[in-house]
Amino acid sequence: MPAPEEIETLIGQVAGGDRSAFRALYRESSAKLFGIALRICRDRAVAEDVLQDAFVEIWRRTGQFAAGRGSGISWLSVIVRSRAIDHLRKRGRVAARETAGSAETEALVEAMPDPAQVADGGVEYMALAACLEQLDPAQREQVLLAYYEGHSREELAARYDAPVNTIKTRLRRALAALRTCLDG
Amino acid sequence: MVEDERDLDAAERALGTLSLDAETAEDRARREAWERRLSPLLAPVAPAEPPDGLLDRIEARIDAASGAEAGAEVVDLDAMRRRVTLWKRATGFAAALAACLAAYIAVPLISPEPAPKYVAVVTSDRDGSTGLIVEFDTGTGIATVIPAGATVPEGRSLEMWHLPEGETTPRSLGLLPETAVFRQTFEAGPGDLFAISLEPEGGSPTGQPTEPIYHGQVIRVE
Repeated sequence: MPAPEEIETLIGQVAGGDRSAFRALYRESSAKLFGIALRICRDRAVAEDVLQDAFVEIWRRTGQFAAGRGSGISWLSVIVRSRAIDHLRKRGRVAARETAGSAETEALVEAMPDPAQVADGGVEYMALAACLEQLDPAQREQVLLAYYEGHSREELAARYDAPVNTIKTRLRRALAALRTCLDG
Repeated sequence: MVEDERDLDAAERALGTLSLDAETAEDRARREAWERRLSPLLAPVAPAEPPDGLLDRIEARIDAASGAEAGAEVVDLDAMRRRVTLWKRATGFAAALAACLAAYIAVPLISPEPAPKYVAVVTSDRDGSTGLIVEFDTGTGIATVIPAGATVPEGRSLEMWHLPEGETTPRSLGLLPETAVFRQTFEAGPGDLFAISLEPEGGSPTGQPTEPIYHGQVIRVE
């Protein structure tokens, strides 16, 4: 990975319409971003569509990037995650999941980065992981399922066999606790 | 307390458990703050090399979009519609269309020569009016999608679909743009079908057409 400042410099140049900077930005970030698309979509063809959509959007939106409010790579990562989740929803991912066995569903949860494993996500990841660690395990799992798998309230309700309102309350309690932990 | 609820709504939008509809500028700033709070979760995800050629496809889309916006690309819609009318007359295409497409039956067409050009005229099932023209060049692989008269009802969206020959599941080509001509690269060939469906605002919730109202089939023009 390049130095964070390099990504931010490139984003600034792309905002000025510099196509060669755009190519450099793609070279420097596409492996990381494709990894994210693939992690969420779990299908190479879909992940390719997602990366295309995301980079077309990045080309248009670089002017909105505010240096000083988060790093360039995390700004790019959030765009890719949003597009990936859009694609999941559009492609009727729910139907696909219903046919998947419960063993596979368990494996998906297992495959999430373990908040206790604070290896190489950087200091922000360590802080967030430490805060997630303080949540009740079921609450933490719900937040991670929504974040990495794009689960809606309804899907979480079905998964945990709980009313949608209960899920909503739990999610919001977890998010409020994270906010206090991170900002406090 | 109300402020707190508003911030938690923003948190849920960032998480994806609430939709982004009708978000004010201030709520957007709150949501973006939450996106930054949660984004470290993406840091430890393992990288993966995207396939060669993806950047070229991205740049082709950017070029096409900027061309359409700047008016750099001139499409003679009238000429295209005239040509379309001729084709309809020559083939009895419009009349036969709805019947063919209702069952999603692909009719084999003339065998292609090197790099032929094709057009699909997507017409209303109700009155036969043209809603969309899709022209594509198998040489370059670029499809030009031209909205031509389909109007989007208030509070709804029109979504475009492509059904490759021999397949049973249409693929979304995204929402119908209101004015711009847009081009994209996708594989298409004779016997493929195109359709437009009426959807809730924002597009199909299921990933499949909700209420198809326009249909069209590919015909060869050059």
